[in-house]
This record gives sequence, structure tokens and C-alpha cells, in this order.
Amino acid sequence: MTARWSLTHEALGQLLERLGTDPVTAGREYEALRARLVDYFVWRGAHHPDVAADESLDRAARRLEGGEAVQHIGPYVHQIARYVLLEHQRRDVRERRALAGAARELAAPADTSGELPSACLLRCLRQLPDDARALIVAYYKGEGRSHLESRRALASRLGISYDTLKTRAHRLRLRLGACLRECVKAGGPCD
Amino acid sequence: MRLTADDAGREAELRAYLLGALPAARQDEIDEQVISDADLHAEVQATADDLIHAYLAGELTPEDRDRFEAHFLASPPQRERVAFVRGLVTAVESMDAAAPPSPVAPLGVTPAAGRASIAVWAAVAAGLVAVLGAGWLYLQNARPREGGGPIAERPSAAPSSPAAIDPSPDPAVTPAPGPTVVALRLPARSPGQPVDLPLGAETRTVRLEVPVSDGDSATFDAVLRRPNGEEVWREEGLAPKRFGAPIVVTAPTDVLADGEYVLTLQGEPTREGSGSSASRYRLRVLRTP
Repeated sequence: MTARWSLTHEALGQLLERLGTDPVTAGREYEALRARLVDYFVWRGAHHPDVAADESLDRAARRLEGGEAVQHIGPYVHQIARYVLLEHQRRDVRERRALAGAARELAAPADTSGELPSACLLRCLRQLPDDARALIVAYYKGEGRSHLESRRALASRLGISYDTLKTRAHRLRLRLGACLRECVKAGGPCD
Repeated sequence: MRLTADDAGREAELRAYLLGALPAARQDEIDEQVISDADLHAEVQATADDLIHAYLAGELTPEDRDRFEAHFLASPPQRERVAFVRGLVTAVESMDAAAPPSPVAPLGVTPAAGRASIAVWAAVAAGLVAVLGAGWLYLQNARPREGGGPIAERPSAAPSSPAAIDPSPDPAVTPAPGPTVVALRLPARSPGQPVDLPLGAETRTVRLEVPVSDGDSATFDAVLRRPNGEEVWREEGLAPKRFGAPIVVTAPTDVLADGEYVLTLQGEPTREGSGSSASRYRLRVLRTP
């Protein structure tokens, strides 16, 4: 039985070198690439997206340390991630079969009714600058039309492209998400 | 191969990507781009949230809804994201209902905020005057109605000015073309018999406004059930925007068929230790073609 390979300092160094010219840039890009990989696995339905992302990066580092020639790191990591995904999917199927009782649970309709502390979200919304809050409110309105159509109209009124509007709304949601996590960690809004 | 530049085509392709509905080769191409390109990754994240919103608003086709539930929700983080977007939309709705922004005096926008910021506000405010302010005015106009009943159907196309809105408190709902929102103010005390809730064919959302007393709980859970107890909609942690403001329950109409429902509003126990309050209303959904 062969010993399981684990990430070495040298291998990680090889990968970081491919990601940035200085340690700070490389570290930042590593985190960004990992975040993109996590989402890739989430969107592909992997049950353990963080584990899969780390496995992909570890394998890329290992191959780079082994001297494999790599022209573009993104597509290279994607190829590795594809194999990791297949392995995870096979593993997930095995897990479902092994856990006969849990299989029913896994196959059950997804419960999306997770409770969210709405008081926290309201406070986070109120803490946004007025123009940002107005933007996110307007983004989620659009009654009477499809949201895509009303958002296009909003972008037009703002004099920006639809893509830019989408990105702005996305950044605001990230900000609200971070605020929500802080608020929940603090045990809810104090005001 | 890049994504198509056209907004609608691009949006449709990214949605199909997230729903796992693209041919395998194309799916693979976008996978590679998403992993390699930070901008595209952010765009797909944004599209994913918009897709969740469309799902919650009942805007997906039956086929896409099936794919969404089977494919998109397969991963636990996605289900958490759905809860986040649902909470955000609810929070935005409650904020919108209670505090219409003034187009005359935008809040806190100073010259230091920069030209872009002011421009954003001005453009957004223009839209809000038409969409939010109009809805608020309509609700204000309808307020004299007591005893429950439909307040208004808000026309799908935002009127050009608040004056264009019919302030008539006539309970007869005028069918309007295009998707609409129905707002229903419930009486402070349940009348015992069902309150009629007429829904047009294009109505997508219903807003149920339930009066609560100042001494009631800080937050409430609202549950909409069929008479046999089957739960069709639930919102938790609802709070009035201010003292005296009603609790607003927002539900997609695709969960409502013709017939009777029971809305229960259960207050959380207060910090002072007083018991929780509960209100119960019978509703009769009347679907019109």
C-alpha cells in the first residue's frame, strides 16, 4: 500500500510561484483560485466542495513539483478539478448506497427554509450607504415585469451596463453577507 | 470560445450552466473559464443569486424549477444561499413597505460622496418614485378601508407619476394586464369568516399586512396552511418596520390555489418574559382567469 502524498513546502512554493511574482500577490491569487474552485464544486453538486478544492490544488502543486510543464495554470487546475469531481461524485454515490437509511434523506426534497435572522439583515441593510441601499432595493423590485427586464431598465436609468449593475448588486450582497455573519456572531443586533 | 455578448443570451446561458442544462462540452468550457477568470466567476455568482430570486418569485419554468431543485440545490451551500436570498428579499420588502424614499431630499448624499454616487442615487430615485413611492401612495390612499379586504392590485407597468394611480378604495379589483402584486390589509381582529383574496392570472406575489399592537412581540413567524394543516408558506423572524406598522407577509402566488387557507401569525415571547401572541385569519383565495 503506497503512502498518501501530502502537500510539501516545496510543492506549495512551486504552485505559488506560478500564481504571482511576490508572496503577497501569490497568496492572494491562491485564495482567489481556491474560492473559484469551491464554487465550481458547489455548482457541480459536490457534497464536500472545500475538500475537493484543496485536493485539486494539492495535486496541481504535486505535479508542478514533479516537473510537469504547465503553460496556463487556470486550465491546468480545471483539468485536475474535473477528475477530482468525478472521484467525489463516485464517492458520494458509494456513501449513499452504504448509508441505506440516509439515502432517503439525501434524496428528499431540499429544505430551503433555513431560518435567517431577519433583524440582522434589516440592520445590515440600514447600515448601507443610502445610494447603495437604494440600489439593492431597486434591484429586488421590478414588480410587474420579469426581473431581468426591470433590471435592464434600471441599468439604463443609471447609465450603466446590465453587467455592471449585476456586479454592483453582487458586491452589495457580499457586503451584506459579511455584515450578517458578524451580526449573527455577535448574537444579533443590539439596537 | 467566449460567452455570448448579448445580455439576454448571456444570462440564459449562465442560467443553463448553473442548472446543468448545457451540452457537456459547453458546460466544460464554461467550467474552465469560471476557474480561470475572476470576473466571469463573479458574474456567475451574481447570476446564481438572480436564479435563486427567480426561483423564489416563481418565475422559473416548470422544467427549470425541476432542474433547480434536483441539480442546483444538490449542494448544502446552495441551500444556505437560498435562505440568504430569501431573507434579503424579505428584508428589502419590509424596508420598502415602511419607508418610501423621498425623491426631493435624498438621504445623506453629500457632494463628497462623488458624482457617480449622486448619479446613482438620482437614477435610482427616479425609478423608486415610479415604483416604490407609487405603491406606498396607493397603500396610503387605501388606508381608510377598515375591516379587511383587498387594498389594491398594483399595475405591472409603473405609472409615470403617482398621480396616475387610481386612489379609489373600491374593493372591486380591476384586472390589470401583466404581472401584479396584490396587497391585502387584514383587520386587527380576525372576523371569523374567511377574508377574500382575489388573484388575477398574472398575479405573482401577495402581500398580507397584519396589524400588531405595540405591546406584541418583537418578531413573528407567519405560516400559511390549508385547512387540513398542510403548510404552503412560511416566513420567520418578521418584524414591523416601526411601532404601529403591520407585519408584512410576502408569499408567491404559485403556492396558492383556489380555496381556503389559514394564516397564523405567532409572536416570539418577549425578553421581559411575557407570553407570545398569536393571530389567526381565514383567507379564501379566488383565482380569476
